[in-house]
Amino acid sequence: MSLDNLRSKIQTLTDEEIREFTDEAGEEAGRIVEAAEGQAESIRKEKTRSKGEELVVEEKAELAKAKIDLRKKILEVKDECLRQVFSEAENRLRKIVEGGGKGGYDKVLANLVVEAAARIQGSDFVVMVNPRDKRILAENLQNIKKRIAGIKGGTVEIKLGDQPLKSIGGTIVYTSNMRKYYNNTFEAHLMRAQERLRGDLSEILFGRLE
Amino acid sequence: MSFEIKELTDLVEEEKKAQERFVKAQQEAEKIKDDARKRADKIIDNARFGTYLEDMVAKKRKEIEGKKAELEKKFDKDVNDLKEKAGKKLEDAVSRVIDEVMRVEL
Repeated sequence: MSLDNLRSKIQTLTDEEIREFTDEAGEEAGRIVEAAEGQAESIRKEKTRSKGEELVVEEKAELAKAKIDLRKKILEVKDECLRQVFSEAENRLRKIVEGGGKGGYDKVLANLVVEAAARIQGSDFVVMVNPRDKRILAENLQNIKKRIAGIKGGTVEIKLGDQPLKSIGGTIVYTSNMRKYYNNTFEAHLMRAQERLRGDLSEILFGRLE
Repeated sequence: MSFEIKELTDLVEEEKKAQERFVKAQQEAEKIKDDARKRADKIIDNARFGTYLEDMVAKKRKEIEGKKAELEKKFDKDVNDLKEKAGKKLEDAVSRVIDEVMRVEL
């Protein structure tokens, strides 16, 4: 073998060895990175999975709370509408009572006194009304007395109270010993109506399907 | 096989150079592997401590806010419809209350 051949052989062998472990190093580097990427993917998957579940729960809670708040807002609007109805009704009642007999209030007032007396036990009554209604009732008192007597099935005594009643209209009827009474004022009727008519009024105002 | 001293010396020199190249290449190969390890550490660190979770949370929160805004829009419309409907029926409702207040059971 010539010297040139030997020299060439040395170079070739060296090149081959270098290429071999350079390739190996490259492959190993690839494996290291690939393994890291795999591991990173698992870490990411686990983290995003648990965070994702957390976020789904958060989303449900947030949306549920938002819905509750908004429904509350709707209920407030409905309550406001109902308040408006009663406020308007009160204004209307004031106008009716101001009209006195013209609007038929005198008959309504008489009926309210009769009903109140009929609802409490006894035969001796004191009728409390506001000063304006006192004038209206004074004219009809005998007739009212007869009607109550008819319902009670016996003699009754009835007189107008001295104390003026602060009320839009209607009456509070007491037994003469003041132990029992029945509140038949418009204010009391309005209060009862607020309880009783809530469903009806909701249906009138907002319809069956809300 | 017979060589001159000079030739042998050249050959030894050649062998020495080859050895040096070999060592240098070995060092480079080690560096390639070291770099890969560093890159791998970075990849894993990024998975452990990267901002992708914050990004994901921010994206989801934005989505939730969007859904809430949509809900509010729908409810606002419902509220307006409700007010409009109630406004039209106010008179009927007031009449119903007046009837009830005036009603007497005898």
